[in-house]
Amino acid sequence: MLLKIAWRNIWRKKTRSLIIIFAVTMGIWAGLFICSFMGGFINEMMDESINHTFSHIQIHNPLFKGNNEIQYTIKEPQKVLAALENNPDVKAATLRNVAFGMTASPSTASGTKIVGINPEQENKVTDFKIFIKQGTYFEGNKRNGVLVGQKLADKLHIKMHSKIVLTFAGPDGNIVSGAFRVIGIYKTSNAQSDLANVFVNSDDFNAMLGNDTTFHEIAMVLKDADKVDTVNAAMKKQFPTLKVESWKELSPETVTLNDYIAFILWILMGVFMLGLGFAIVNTMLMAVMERTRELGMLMAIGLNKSRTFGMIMIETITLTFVGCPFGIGLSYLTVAYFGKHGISLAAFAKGMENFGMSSMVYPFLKENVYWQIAIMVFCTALLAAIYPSIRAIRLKPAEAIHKI
Amino acid sequence: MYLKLAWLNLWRNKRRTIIAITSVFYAVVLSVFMTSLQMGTMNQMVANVAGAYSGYIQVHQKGYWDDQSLDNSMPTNSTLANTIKQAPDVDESVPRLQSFALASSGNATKGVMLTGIDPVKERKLVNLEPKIIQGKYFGSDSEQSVILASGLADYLKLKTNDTIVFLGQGFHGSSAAGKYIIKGIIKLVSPDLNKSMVFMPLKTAQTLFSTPDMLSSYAIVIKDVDGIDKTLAYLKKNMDTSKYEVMDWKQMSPELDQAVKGKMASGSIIEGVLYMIVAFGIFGTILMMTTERTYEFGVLVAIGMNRRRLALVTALESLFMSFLGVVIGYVASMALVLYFVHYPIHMTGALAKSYEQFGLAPYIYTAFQFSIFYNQAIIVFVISVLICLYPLSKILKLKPVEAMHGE
Repeated sequence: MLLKIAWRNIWRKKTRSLIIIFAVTMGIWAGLFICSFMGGFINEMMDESINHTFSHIQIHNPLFKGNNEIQYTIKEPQKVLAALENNPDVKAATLRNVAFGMTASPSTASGTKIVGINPEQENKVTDFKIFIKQGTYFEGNKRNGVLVGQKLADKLHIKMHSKIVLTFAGPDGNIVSGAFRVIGIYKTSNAQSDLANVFVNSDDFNAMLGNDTTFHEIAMVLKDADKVDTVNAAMKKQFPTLKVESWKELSPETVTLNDYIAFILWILMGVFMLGLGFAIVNTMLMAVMERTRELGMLMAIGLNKSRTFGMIMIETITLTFVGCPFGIGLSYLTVAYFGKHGISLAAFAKGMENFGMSSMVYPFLKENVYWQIAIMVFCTALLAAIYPSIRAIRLKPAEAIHKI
Repeated sequence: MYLKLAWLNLWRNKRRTIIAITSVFYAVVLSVFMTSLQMGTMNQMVANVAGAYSGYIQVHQKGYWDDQSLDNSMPTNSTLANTIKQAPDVDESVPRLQSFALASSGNATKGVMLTGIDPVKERKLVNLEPKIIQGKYFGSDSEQSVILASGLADYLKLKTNDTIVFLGQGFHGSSAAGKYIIKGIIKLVSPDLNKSMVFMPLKTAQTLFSTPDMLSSYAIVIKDVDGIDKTLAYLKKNMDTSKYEVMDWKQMSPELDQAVKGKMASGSIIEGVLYMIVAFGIFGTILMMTTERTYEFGVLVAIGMNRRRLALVTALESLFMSFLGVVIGYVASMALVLYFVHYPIHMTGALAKSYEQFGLAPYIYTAFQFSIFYNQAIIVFVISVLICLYPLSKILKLKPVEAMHGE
């Protein structure tokens, strides 16, 4: 019967009820929107890190530490590649050569990492192609073409079709060098890496060494990004003589940034829930004050204290229940719309595009977040209802009835 | 007289007034806290990058930044050094000489970045001593020794007390060649830097590159990050800008600047959402308060009080309540932020561990900046004043008989 009274009370006072319903809807919408916003941000970052740089998993010779050990190649690279291509979890894999040496133009020279790639395979693993600002990504099969970063091109005073010389030490200590022509210039959001990395075709790299089977690195993307850890562990067992690492091991900074944003999000949610809680407490308190006469009368005709408490709590809970679906529905629509069209930060950060950082944020939410936020809001509303309910039962019926 | 009436009205019903004031109070405290957290995290981001190596401001010979070769280094100039020292908020100006060179030991050779440092002053910027994992720090600024990064030492297979040879190009094409003892090995956080950095006492480096008394840059350590613009303006005014250039971290790392601006943009959106929620809190309270007083307003108008006067008095009451809420909120939020400045939020679990591994402090900081308190207080005040227009419109449309009957 308490339920019936509570329900009727709610609809008797439409204005007040609508306020609380609205507040709950807003609270849920705000919480979900912010989570989706941050979720989109994190996605952007991970995307950059994984798709452009590290891929999901990389394989090297265990002695290869990324410090110019050109002699530490992967044994039987074609066999490993074939095994990977047969692996149902792997979407695509590619072979690379890596050497540290010098890139020289007629005017200056600079220390760089020289990476030999197979353009077709590489394109299935990374989307580096989108960074090409001038020229092509090795289209046309011209011999001895090289891809340089804009920052390096500026430093060496070179442009498209300029001739440069790449020099590095071979596995037996002999210096090898080759003349290359700039067939493309790229620009990423990381100027330091633009300065330090040049890309050539693997065939041309191996031609300089006179050997067509040396490879130092295998990079791959998986069909399902969430399976990275299990696939990584399985591959470590499959190739015990090689060093298998996931992007989490290769770039602990990205993992840390991810955790950092999640942590900040928790704090923000806390602040929002506090705001929502206070909003509900204050509104309900005022409501209790406004209903003093009504409550006094109810208590005078026999509604005992625990039932009064229950009545107000049920009113609040019901209002919250009504607000929840609206909040979730509104958020779902918002995320769907902006997830497609994106929210532009360009007005605030005009230069972001110049640095390859996307100025668009595409909000994104996983299903379980909806439930988590809804439950958080529900609990907040519940807790917020306690204090006003306590105040309600402290009223003295005789005094309350006489309030004007 | 209206003021007196309004004031008395407030305290006639203490409970109601306090509830209304607290709704404004919460709004101020929450929005200040959130803004201060955002500022704090952004400052931290800049500090971890700019403050750790390049410094917040650098002074070079004009043209050095675009073409970082030894030929663009500047002779040590006491006038310049003094100008820098006298600029506001300057803690230290750290002199450096930097160039690319080839390092060699046995059969192995590698390109490295060689930085000549003043061992005393450099403690304030790249503090090498705590990063030493083998050997010792420099004892003088002219000893014939170097400190290597551990990645480099591993590659060249060197330990402390071994000899290392450097070969490179000195000033105006002269050759640079020298043999040095490894005094210490350090571990740098960034894996890339850890494979390529070499530190040498300044005078030793100047001898190696045939650049006596010359420097690549002064990196400036600032006492108060918020005052960076003042320092920059002072330097630009008092330096000979035809000979020297001065740059802040925003010019030296424009990517970082854009990243910060992007973060501020998303921060504004989040703040906007918070304002919506707290505005709701205030509105709900005011709405209920108006409904509760409908009877009282009805009686007043019925016995002859001019509607406009009643609206005026109510408006004054709302202004008082908003004002009090904002002022108390202002003070309380300052105390809250100050508390977190001294006891910053500690990160948990895996996040804390990785931060420590990166050599960063595992805390989230709040920024104590007067502009934050001031701005948030004003915004919340404006919001609450706008919300208080609602009761006014209700009064002006009031029908006394209905008002007195309603319950």
